[in-house]
Amino acid sequence: MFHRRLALLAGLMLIPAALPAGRLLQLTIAKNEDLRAEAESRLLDQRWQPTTRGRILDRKDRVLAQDKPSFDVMVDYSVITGQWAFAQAAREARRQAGGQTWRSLSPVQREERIQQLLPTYRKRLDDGWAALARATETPIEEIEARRSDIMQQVSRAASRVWELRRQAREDDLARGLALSGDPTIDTIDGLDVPIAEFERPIREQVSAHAVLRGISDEAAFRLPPEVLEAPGLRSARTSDARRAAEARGDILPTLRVVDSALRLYPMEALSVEVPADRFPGPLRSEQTATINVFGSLTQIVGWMRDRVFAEDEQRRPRITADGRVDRGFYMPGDSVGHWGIEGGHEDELRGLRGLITEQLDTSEIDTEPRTPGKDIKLTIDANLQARIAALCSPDLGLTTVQPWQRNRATPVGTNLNAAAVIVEVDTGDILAMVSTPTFTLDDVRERPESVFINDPILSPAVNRAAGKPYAPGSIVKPLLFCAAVSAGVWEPDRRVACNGHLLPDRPNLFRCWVFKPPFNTTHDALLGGALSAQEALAVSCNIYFYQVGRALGPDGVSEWYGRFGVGNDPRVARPTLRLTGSPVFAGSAGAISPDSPLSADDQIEMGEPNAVTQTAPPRARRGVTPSEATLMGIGQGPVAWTPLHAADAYATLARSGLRIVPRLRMDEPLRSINLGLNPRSVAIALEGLSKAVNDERGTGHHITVDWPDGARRENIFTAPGVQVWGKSGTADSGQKARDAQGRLLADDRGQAISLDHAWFVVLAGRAGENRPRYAVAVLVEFGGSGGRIAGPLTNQILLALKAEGYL
Amino acid sequence: MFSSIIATERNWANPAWLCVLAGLLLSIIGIYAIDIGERTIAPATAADLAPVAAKQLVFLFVGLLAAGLLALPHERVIRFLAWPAMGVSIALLIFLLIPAVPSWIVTPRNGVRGWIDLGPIDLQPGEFAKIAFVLAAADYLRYRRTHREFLGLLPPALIAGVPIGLIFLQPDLGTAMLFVPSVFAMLLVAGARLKHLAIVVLAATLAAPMAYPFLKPYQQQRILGLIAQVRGDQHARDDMNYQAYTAQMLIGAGGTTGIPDAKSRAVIRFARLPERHNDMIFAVVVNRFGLLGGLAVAGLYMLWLAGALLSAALCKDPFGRLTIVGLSAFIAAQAAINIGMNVGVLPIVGLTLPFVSYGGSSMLVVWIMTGLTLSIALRPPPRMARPSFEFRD
Repeated sequence: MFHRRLALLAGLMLIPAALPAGRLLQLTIAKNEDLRAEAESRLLDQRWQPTTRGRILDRKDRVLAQDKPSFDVMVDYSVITGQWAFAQAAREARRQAGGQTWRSLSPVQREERIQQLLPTYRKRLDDGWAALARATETPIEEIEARRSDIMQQVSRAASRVWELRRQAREDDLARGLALSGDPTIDTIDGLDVPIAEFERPIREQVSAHAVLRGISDEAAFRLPPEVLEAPGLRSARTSDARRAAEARGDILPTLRVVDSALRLYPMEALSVEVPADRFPGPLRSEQTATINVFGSLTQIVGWMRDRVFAEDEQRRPRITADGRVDRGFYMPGDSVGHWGIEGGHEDELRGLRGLITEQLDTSEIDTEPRTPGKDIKLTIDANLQARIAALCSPDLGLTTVQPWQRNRATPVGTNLNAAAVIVEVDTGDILAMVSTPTFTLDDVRERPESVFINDPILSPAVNRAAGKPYAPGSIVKPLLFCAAVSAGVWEPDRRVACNGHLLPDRPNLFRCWVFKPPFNTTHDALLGGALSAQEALAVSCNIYFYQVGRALGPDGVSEWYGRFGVGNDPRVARPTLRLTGSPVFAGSAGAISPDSPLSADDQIEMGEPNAVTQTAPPRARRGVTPSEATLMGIGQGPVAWTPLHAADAYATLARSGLRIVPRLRMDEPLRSINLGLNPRSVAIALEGLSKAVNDERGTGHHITVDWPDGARRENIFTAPGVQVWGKSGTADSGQKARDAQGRLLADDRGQAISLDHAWFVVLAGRAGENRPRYAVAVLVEFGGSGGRIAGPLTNQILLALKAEGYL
Repeated sequence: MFSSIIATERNWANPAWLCVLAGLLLSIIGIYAIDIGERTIAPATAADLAPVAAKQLVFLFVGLLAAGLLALPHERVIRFLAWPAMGVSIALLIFLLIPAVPSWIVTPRNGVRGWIDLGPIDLQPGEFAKIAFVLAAADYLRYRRTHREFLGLLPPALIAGVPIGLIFLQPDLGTAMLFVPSVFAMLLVAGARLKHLAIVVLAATLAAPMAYPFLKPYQQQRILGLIAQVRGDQHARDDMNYQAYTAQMLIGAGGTTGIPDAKSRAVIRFARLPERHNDMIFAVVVNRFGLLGGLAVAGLYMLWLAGALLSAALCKDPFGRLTIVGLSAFIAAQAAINIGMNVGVLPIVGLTLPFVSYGGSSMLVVWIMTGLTLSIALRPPPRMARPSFEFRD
């Protein structure tokens, strides 16, 4: 029996060997490749090398943004928090006690020994911080503030990560409980899931952080040489010299200085000389004003932020979908382009990091060189941009309500917001895109609440040149004239009588702007008969263009606005500016959103069915009505666009209907669409625009300035050697003027005074060429009369173009 | 008198030499593996060995010496010392648990009061208790029949239960667990009825989960870690499963034939495997020598067991038979658990690999076991001896 039992025992000893044997086979054969790769990956020490971000240049290669090589001071998180001191004290206490004795001590006894040594290491840290402050000439308070910021950021990040882990763990356990099928178990409370399971340190808590960024070469070299990190070498064991320096408090433990880059914006502040000898009226002076312009390019260029958001990491993950490592991925502490070109073209500007891989066992080093970011050259002329921004300065008064402007809606002395866009006719290049007020990078950093106001009227962050819509008013008239002729619904030589109002028996509807009590003037009376298109353009007769709008009809009006680049139709080519932060408005022509209620002013009874009645379902999109199409003929009603749209449309007109989509980058290919405008209509339109600014009856020809000795006329356009075609516009904003107490202001007839936006759009060329070279669109918010307010400003912009050599 | 103490008649041609050979080869593999885990450059001579590997070499010599010394005395001397040894072991185990004992004598390691500090070396009474238990149990069972009854299983269980309980209180769950297969093996070959043993095994299996709440948190965590790993949950690979995961990674990386010496040293070093020269040394061996190396180690244990069980088969003395079986069960169980731990089919319980892992006490004990086995095998079978453990099932 014994031998039988012995054999049985031998068999029983072999049976349990099957499972480990099987697992051994699985690991060494089935999983060998993956596990070997993972084991060997631990032999690699990879270190990323920063790259150089691309520059942003203007059209004349002036640098608008560039990296300046500098240094960052990096310190491990444990030193930043001070935990390093505790860890070192614990280590030293254990060393002094000896391993066996230490293991025998109770936690309280260990803590006592650590506390005895702690002050030494705390002092070392304090001395190290003070040494860093001295060497870099940085106030210690600034360093303390930076430490505090880092700890807060990391703490927030850790909380988010731990919560995600905890949730993931609960989900796993819940799935496990669900699989158990026990209906009585519905929580994980019965399981003791230790907090340590998900509150493990996150990457940021075990890595280094930049406590000082962009320190100068001099400051970096004042630090001991041991802290300068040599690229390509694995950190060798701490040298004796460094250990001694750390012990003395001369160097902060774990401190090292690494290559970095500071982003500079050389043209953020410019000084502009503005001659005032051609200013209008009392603003004129023989002196040249010096205007300091700040932030004229901030909206376009943007800036960098030094925090990486989750969406940045999602947009550009470290491992791509096909398993490659994207060397442009984001790491904590990276700077990211924010706003404008910096943000919208981040991927191109960013470049790719270099990668140094050291094989730890053989010390072989493999280097993948860094790829600098791409330079981006804009079509913008920075100097021209600054000149225009200077012209909009309240110091000069061109955008300030003046007494002679007879603005009944806005008090004299009020500074007005303004925008201007210049498009080169031949290429579609945007030479300038100015929006005032603007803001500086200091404003963003120090006073963000003054920049990012949730108010489109007050906020400097709004890009009024391309991102905010305005009713176009009369400036659309030449465009719709050409559209109607090209569509075959209007004869180019047709004359229209202006008796002050469109509908014979409704003198209060569809009125011409000149038809005002008590005289109720008409253009027929002023010009001696029915108006031709040129005359209608020159005097901006509303009746003529109501007829044009009516003739085009709802579909025609919407379609042609769309052809000129307005609206959300995906077939409409729009400029791809890719400016993050302040989006480019697509414009609207007849598209009324379900949620935007029409004001009472919009509900105009036309004598024909009006779909917008109080009983109608309010907000489904229902298409432009015939009445609205009539209004859109004069640039009112459900249409809105930006100064960029206006400049684009006029440049198209100058090209006889060839639309070249405006571009902001020099390397962007030209996109052109022929709108098929009738050539005769274009010629007539240009003739009309010329009359508007050059004929004394034109609305854009002169302003009347009140002087002590009487009113005098002054020509609006005075730039020598410049040929101008242009159109003024006074667009009803839909808002009414109110006094300081909020009460509506009324005119002589007792009617509420409208707040109007002042437009002026011109084509300008060199005298004698008879060829427009540039389209300039100017808007002054709530400025009132386009001719009186926007006209003089436009003239100064033409002078600026001349000063920069364009005209 | 001398011949009554020292066995003079020898059966030199016996299978126990296989145990010596297997033990020696395993010990040499162990020394090499310890050195791999400690140094990045292969030693040119024994003098270049890592300090712990050099110490292990010394432990090997001490072990061989102990084995040789234990091969000398007569079996009856060893049997005479069984119960005194058991008493001394129990006393030492109780001594470990006395709170008043100063820490310079009993030094807790990782919370376990399992070692007595003797200055240059540490004595681990739990290890010697294994041997004392086997000898005592073998002596108890050698001519009895009571274990053929169900209640007759109690006394051997009590003999095992005392050291199990005392070791469990240290707390050293791993070492305590090893007594169970040993007492089972001894009862099995001693003729206990199979159905009785089956009932006990079944009851223990069903009762095992009820012990979970009584486990310490870290012990529960190890079980949870194993469950997580089996389910493919990688959440814990960087913390509570780090040791297990790293061991399996190194084993897998070894492939079929292993990794060259220099590379293996580098891989193991930078993998930062905890306990790489004791509990997880099997992972080091397989990383270096691959599947073939792992199978070779397993084969050497089977060689040791084969030599021991053959010696038991040839031995006619019941004490000798049971002693060899009991000691073999300890070796087999410890090796199986350690290998199972390394490959990830068992939770980590802190058991070393016999002959291979670093440790003076464990090396000495396994060589004492080998020496006892050899001692029993060297004794020629008596010319006239009544058969032992020959019952009818």
